Amino acid sequence: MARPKLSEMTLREKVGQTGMPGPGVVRAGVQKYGGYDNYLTRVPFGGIYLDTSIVDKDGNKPSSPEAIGKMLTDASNKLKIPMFVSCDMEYGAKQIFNQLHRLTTNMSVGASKSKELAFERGYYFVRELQTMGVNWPFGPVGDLVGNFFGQSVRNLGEDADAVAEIYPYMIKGMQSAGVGACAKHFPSGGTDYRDSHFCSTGNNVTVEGWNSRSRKVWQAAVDAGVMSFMTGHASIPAFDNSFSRGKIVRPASASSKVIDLLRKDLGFDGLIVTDAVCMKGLAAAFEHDDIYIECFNAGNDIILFVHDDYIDVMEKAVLDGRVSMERLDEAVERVLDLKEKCGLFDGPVKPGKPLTEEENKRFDEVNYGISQKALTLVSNENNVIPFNPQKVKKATIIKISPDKGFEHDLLSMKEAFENRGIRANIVDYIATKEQLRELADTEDIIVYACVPGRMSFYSSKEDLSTLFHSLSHGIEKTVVASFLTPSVYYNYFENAYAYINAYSSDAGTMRAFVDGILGDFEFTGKSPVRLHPIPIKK
Amino acid sequence: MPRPKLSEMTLREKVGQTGMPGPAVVRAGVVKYGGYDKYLSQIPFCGVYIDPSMIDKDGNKPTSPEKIASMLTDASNNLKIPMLVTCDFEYGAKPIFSQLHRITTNMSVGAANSKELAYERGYLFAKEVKTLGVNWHFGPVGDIIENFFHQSVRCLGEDADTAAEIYPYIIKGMQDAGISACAKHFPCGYTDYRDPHFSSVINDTTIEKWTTKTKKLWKAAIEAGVYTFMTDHNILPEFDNSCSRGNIIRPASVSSKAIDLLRDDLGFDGLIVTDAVCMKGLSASFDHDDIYIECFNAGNDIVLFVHDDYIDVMEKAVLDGKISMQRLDESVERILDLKEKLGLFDGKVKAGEPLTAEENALFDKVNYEIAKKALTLVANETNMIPFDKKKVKKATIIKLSPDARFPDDLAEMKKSFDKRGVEAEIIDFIKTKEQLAEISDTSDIIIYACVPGRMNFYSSKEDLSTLFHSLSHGIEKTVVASFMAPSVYYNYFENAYAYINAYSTDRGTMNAFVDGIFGDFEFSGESPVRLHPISIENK
Repeated sequence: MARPKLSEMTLREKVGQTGMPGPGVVRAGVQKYGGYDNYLTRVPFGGIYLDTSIVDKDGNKPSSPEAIGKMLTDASNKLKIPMFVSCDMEYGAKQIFNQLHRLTTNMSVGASKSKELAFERGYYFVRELQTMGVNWPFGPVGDLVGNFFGQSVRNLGEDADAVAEIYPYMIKGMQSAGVGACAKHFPSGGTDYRDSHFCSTGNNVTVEGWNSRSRKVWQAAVDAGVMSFMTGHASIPAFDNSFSRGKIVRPASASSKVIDLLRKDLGFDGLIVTDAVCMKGLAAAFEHDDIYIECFNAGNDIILFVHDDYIDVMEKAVLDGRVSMERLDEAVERVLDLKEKCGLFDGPVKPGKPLTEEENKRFDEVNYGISQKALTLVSNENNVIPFNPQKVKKATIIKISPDKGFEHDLLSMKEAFENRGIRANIVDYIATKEQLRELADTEDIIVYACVPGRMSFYSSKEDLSTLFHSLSHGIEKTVVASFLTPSVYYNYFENAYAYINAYSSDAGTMRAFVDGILGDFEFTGKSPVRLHPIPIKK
Repeated sequence: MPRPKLSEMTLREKVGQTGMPGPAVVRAGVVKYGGYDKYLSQIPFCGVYIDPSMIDKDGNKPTSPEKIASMLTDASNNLKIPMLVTCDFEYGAKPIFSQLHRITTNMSVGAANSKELAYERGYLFAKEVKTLGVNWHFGPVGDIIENFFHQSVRCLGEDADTAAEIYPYIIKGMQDAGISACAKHFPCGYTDYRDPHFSSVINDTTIEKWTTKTKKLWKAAIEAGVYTFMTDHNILPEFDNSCSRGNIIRPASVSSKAIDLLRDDLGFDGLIVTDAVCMKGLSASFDHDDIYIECFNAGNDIVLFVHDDYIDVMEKAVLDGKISMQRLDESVERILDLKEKLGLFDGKVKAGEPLTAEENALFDKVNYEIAKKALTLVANETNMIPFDKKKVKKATIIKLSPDARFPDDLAEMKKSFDKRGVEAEIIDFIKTKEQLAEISDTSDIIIYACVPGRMNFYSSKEDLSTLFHSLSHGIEKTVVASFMAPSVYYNYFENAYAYINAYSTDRGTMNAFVDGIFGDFEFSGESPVRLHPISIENK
């Protein structure tokens, strides 16, 4: 399929390339029109987004990565313009098929400080995605942690210089496999702990503050040749303090001042996509009918997670003069540029080859290696760690998490113990102190394995029961570990004798954790974020 | 039953008076021994704590407040020393029987800033819990809010001077009804947002700051004649920075330095009870076997939520010399003093008379009046409030809460709309923007009624879905209201055109809310806490 010329495209086709429908819209369209090609022929969007809810034209989930890869590339090859296949999968593609990898998180990478491993991780992660036909993953996240309550393992950390060192390697690793990476979420700032899915958020940073922090990361991404950027909804009043409606400050994703900064000041000429426009941080900031046009006119080239009505709305806006043809053509050229860079115009589109056994093994080693460097021993009073592998016969792992997927991850930890001849049990929750006393009497190691919920806090009855009783018995043989945010330490376990931040819940991290507490290596990871919301005087 | 003399009490009886078992321990004991009197004859604790889990000797929940009362007072009259009956009904006694009242929260009282209403609410609340046989309520909470993430409606607010004005009236109201109040949680000052149920909690305040803030409140409580104080598991390194185990600093509830402050500095000579010793803030700070003795020796008179083994452990500790007889006697005297003040030695123990119809009506009115003064109009950008009574036909109330009890409370709001001829519908959650667009097309008012979860954040799939879609349609006719923590505004709804903090979920608040948005009165409440976290950081 040759790259189409703008002059040969209809207005409808042009407008369509600037919209990317959300997964619910795609599912409905694929079933209504009978397949991805038929859907995108009728409603000619630039591409689709792949997540665990993906279906074929009959509404069934394809049975393997290869089946998805074939379905989507076959569809692309029937279209006039091959489609983007985008995704997030920041925690790895395992969520879509169990045989694929869970990934060390960005925060593990930030803690490991290894550029080489960051590059390799990006490469293998993308190779795996390509087997499903993905050509544009929305990542990596480059946002800095700027608020204790906004700690997310999707971020590399809070030190701008350290993040700016490693971020380009993740991007290069991903792009070296042949896809476009996406630096997100510009301009960020990270001082607000709120989540733009659920409210308007704003960063009260100054221009100087932003220049000395977030800007460094984005500049590093541009210098690394990142092919696309995603704009975030969090407003930065220092850049644009106009109101979008009422007293709501204009979200960055709909601010031409912010996007000009990226274009002119940072010199980025690649594709810019909005964050999902259905998120409250944007959706509640405008009258519904204005959202698409506001985002597009601000300078975004693709509007993310639109409905099928997008094409009609935008076509009308161009005809009405509310969107200029010049703005549209410029965006379409960028969309086609990115497709070209991703090889979509180089003959028939093909899915990536499955990883070989050696590649899969290397992927595991990379995750293990990152974890080994990342694991951070926050507290080890009384030298609880290392345990003596000769003396440890029984371990109990107490799960503290509302996350169903975590139960599966803990099986990797259990396996890691058992591979070393240690009998390991997983306990769902602690109902009484007596139950804990019995465990303390019979076990040689007690592990509290933590993955907290929203805002890194716990709220389920079971988790709160475990927390309530935790550490009342067996503290001298207890290791608490967070396999997600480091703030678990301050929020719940400042009084544990032994505490480790592990940042990730992939199999490599689980193995490295077990090897580490049994003394196979020294813990050298340094926390990429502060561990207290306020410096505590001691 | 006359007051027993110390000299006539056995060591076991003395030690028993200093322990109060938790609800699960009581349930097991009552069923095992066949009744409250039999249980407490065998394990001679000073009393019991009641909550909705309470049962009779056959394991059944009594069917009415009167049944509970006769069961407990009969038991008391069979005991050598009548028992303390305690509770924690900070939101009113409704959780135990739905015919009883939910009450306006302390934060409503703080926002209303009315001493008279604070007194009346305390009085009527105490009268109601007294009908259950309760003689000692573990409240009111006097903690000052010092952290945006610890905004609890159990507290009066963040301004110590205002709180210290109101607080004594709540206490007096309660005690005038003939029960003991309990000032809690000493020494407090929540600069830390963490919850001592689930973690160690550190208050990094200075003595000077504490003296100018929280201390005022405790002083006001003592001057009002509060009978008891509860100590807190909060750690205040400025007061006591010794470690209890590892590098965990000693919680205030087990710090003789902290308790000396209450006794010597503030001059309180009444009874001091610990907060529940099973809470992680305390229980993870010590080796299990040391907890009771540490608490008692620090100067607490009653150790709260102990197990039946308490009496053996403590008896042995006295015999071993780990606890002095003098320390024990001093506590037992204070416990007997409290029981005497509560009239437990004046002939037969009786429960309170049920509230009369007039008293019930007055109770409702007091809650309504508090809410009316408390309701705080935080945003009203387009002046949509007041709504025009004549034009409003249909209201949609969208529930935003993980709390299973909140739908009952919202039914009161619906009734209030219905009474005004406005058809009101309650929606569980919003699934799509299209659903909200339809609601917006057919409703004249949309209300997001918020009661958030832990830490005042939301986490359920349903609530997050509602939040995700919220305000995308109908913002011009939408009122968002928090019936709990005011931080809902900053955390989720800073972009609403109209926003109200209501602080409470009782019927009076629901009625006042509806009357207020229709302009029956002007909103005059002022927020008792700041509404943005940032200004606290800049402080």
